[in-house]
Amino acid sequence: MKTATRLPWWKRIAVYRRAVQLLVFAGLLALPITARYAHYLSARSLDKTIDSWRGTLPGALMGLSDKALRLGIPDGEGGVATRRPRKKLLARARAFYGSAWSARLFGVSMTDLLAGVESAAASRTMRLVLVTGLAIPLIATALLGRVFCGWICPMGILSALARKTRELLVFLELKPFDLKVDPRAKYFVLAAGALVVLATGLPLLHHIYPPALFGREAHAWVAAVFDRAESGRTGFFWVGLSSASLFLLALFLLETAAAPGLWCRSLCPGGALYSLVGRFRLLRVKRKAAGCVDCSICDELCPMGLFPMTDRIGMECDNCGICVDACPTHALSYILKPPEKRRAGKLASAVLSLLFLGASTVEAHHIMGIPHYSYDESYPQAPVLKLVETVGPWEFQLTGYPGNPTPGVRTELHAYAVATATKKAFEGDIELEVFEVLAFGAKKSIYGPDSGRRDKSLHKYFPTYATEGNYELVLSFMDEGIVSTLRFPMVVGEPGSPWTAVGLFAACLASFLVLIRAVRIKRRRALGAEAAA
Amino acid sequence: MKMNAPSPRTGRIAAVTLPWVLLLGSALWVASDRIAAPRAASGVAAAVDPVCGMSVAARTAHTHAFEGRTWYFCSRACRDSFAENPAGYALAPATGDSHTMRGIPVGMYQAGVAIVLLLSFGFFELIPTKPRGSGGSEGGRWDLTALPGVRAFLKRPLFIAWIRAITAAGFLFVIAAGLFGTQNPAANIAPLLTWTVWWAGLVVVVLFFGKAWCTLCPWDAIAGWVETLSGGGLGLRWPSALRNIWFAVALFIALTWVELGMGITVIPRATAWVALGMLALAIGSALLFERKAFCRYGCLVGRVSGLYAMFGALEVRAADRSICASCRTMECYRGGDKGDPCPTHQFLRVMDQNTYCTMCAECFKTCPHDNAALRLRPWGADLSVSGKPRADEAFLALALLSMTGFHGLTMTPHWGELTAWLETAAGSSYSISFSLLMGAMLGLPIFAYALLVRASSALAPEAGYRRLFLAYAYAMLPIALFYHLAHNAEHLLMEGPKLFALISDPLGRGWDLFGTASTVFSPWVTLERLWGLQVLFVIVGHVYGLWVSAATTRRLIPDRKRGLIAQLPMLAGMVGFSVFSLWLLMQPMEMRVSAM
Repeated sequence: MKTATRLPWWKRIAVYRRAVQLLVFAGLLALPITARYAHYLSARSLDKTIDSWRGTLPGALMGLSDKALRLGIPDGEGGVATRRPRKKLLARARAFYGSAWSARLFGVSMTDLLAGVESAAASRTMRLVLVTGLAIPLIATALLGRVFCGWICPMGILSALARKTRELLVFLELKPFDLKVDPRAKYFVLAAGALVVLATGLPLLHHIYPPALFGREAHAWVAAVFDRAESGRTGFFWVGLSSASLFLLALFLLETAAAPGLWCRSLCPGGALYSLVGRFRLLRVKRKAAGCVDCSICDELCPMGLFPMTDRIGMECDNCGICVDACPTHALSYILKPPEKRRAGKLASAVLSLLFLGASTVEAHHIMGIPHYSYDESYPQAPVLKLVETVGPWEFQLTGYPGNPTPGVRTELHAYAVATATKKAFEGDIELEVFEVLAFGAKKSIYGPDSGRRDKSLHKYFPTYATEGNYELVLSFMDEGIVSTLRFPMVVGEPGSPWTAVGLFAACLASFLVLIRAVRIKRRRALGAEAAA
Repeated sequence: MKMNAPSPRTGRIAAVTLPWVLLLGSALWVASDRIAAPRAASGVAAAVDPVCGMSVAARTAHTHAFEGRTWYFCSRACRDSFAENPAGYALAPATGDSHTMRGIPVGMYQAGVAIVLLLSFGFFELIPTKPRGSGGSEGGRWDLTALPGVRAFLKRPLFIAWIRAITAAGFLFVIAAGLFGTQNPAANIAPLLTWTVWWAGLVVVVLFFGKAWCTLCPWDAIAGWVETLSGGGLGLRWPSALRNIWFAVALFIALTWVELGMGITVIPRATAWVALGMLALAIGSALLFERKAFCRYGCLVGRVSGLYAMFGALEVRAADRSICASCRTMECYRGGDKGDPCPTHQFLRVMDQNTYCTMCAECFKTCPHDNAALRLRPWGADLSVSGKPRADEAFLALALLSMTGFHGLTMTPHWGELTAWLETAAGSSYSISFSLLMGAMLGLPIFAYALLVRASSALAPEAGYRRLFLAYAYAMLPIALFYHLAHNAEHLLMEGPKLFALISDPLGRGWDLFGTASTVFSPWVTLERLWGLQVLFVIVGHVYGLWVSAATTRRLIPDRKRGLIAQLPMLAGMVGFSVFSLWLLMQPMEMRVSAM
């Protein structure tokens, strides 16, 4: 960066902005953790979990939440001085819900503008709670502009990270592309998205909206960590790839290698919405023409691709303050400027049109009228495992409930055989034996052989897998004097997810390549310096 | 090579053509059985032997009728067992999903031992031969590059690269299948392609095409592309402490340990991890070190196949050494604008062994005199002229001998008894007793070999213990190689056909890409013919071992009579190893991929 005069850190807006962003990021993780805390607290199992998870990640998270939430609340409840103040703690823990998409903080519902629009468009309903939930963000945006984008949205951190990685690429002489997409594209994304949502009734936009995705990933990660801890696996682990993390990863790679700031500047439908409202903002960046030396540093640095040097800032400014920080002559500063009357009228009409969007009374499920705090992760799924194999004339079906068994928990297996030709079910006995596949290829029988429980032509078995690992289910049955055996693999837990191996390999390879290249460049520069001297 | 040949010229021709005659003969021998056999009347194509559980081709199988049904058997022995107690087997026949394969019959074993003994002590030693000079290696070659078009193809810049792109794609596919396919080893193509087709087939490739695997090697190909795309590596010198192949030897022993001990051959995911691990090693070395240091020093596949390739029937050499002698530019070693320098620091002017050549064809591109040649040659050509025996190579040769025997042993029922015995006797876990026994199986043959060399050196003190130890180790290579071949032939011919079913559903996801997913393929060979092949291979290996040992003796112990006597302990050792090989083949073998 060619900032001629670097301000001391406490005078730089960037420091405060980054601090706010990181706080929000920590808050995104804290919200689901606090929810878990409240859950254990209300189930009166908090002390037990903290004790039994001592020295592990989930234990540390619970201990930390306990310490933080107890700040300022004296110990003692029900006349016992040492007892944890449960009621007060619960009230405090339940004061936070949600994510960057939609949250309730201290009893006040707030929802992201895009979330509000999507919810209203999908349900074609405008409920009072949605109106009040939108009020604070709307007012904040009307006063401060797109500050949500510049100061709060976690995408800001990812984008900044992409810029840093880009600098590394430039240092490594890898010449990343620098593509520009017209910033107006985001209004198209917003309009098209809203139309599709309105037409189909499906809330689709949150699948591509980073603040929603970050919140969702945080919830999923926390849920997975604690769910696993409850079944005895307390180590750190990788949740695995979801569509959300893949989308974010793709954005990161795209911004790093091809188009810095692409998402926020040109594509984000939420950003478009905030820009529309931010038109009427009170807080603005203003240039004092007298101090300006036309150096164009601010134009180069603006992540939104605006031009402060020639006063072409417009409605897309998110008040990030990068240009204010960077200006060598301090010609740029924030000012308060009330909107003109003409514009105030437009603001009122925009808010009104938003409020009366849709007329029917389709009910949004669960929390009436306000978007979900988080999505799938709130409703644990129990995937079913289905294995099919053909032996001779029989087609064999083995179904497991759940499909990804938890160690130590009784599971259910259903076996069913049907003749492929006659479609008649097999009526004889089917025996199941379960083996644990140990290292060195050894196998240990942990269940059966057992002919299970008959339910008409369905054969039911109830094995329990003691530990995480690979198992083999061996089914045998006798038909016309011939014993047939079938072997099905069963994986309990995640004994080495393939993605972990691939991810680890790719990450190690990438950092190794970077290292090699850096060493080569350093070496060449040293040679060049030697030659010059 | 054929010392009793009528004239040197016919002898040389016979020596060069022998490997190919043997290959063709084996193929015909295997195929003729199926071609000649009448189609099974019942229309059944493949059936399961009710005694041992092997799947057999109905048209070549032994049959026995019982209660109006025809039963099919892999061998006469199985049929006889069935005939003794037909009701018992018919009621509870063996199923097809795991089986124990019968070993060679006792009569064949005894005949094999007799032939081995006869060859060793009967007449082979009495044939008078002249000692050869080192120039003898140049006789009996057939230059393939003299054929029209061959050299032009090898000189094309992208010819090898295209071949490598194909193998690399296959390699990545195997990794993907191992990681993301079903973890049921019988339904995933990764274990079969890796362990049965590639690892077992490697021996056949080396035997006939020398270092051709290195030409195809996907590890080096990918590492090379990564190096090019990332703009080049650091080009450090390979550490001098590692300028030997001990690291590769350790890798080979470690691979055998995880292969047989941890049973990664039946864990698709672990198979993929091993492949990725090797890839990491290859990429890491390519970026850190100059040329292809990993191929030269560290790669276990390169070193194992390199040592075996001293025996192989194909070589890259200077066509005319006198042109090399007058060459001042040395492009083959230093590289030029048409190609890279030799990646493994070989220099055509002096190169007289296949071991460290990767057959990358760069010297064909760089040599301005078109003096690089790709030649067919007799088996064992490098072994008879072995120039500078090295301790690390000698140890690898001995490790190959003991590890291939160990490999065979672990598939016999004795292995289970042995480990079970140690587990109860020493109270150790399976993994510990496995490791202990593997250590013993690695150490004992080498110890026995050392004792035998001690005896030889006592009989001929002028040769020196160390020299004899290193030189005779190379004589063990043919024995190891051909037992390896006999053992792997079983895997390839018996399990190989399953590939055609798996190719339709490589990940075990219920696909049927080529319509062969649910076809049951019977083995390519009947058991009787396979046994014949196996015994033949062991005997051929033994003969070549004798020949190399005789050549070594002549070189180290000039006095003919003392040489003959000093060689006796070695002969006893070789007979011992060959008889052990035959004994192993006699044992029933538990096949590694279930549900064959």
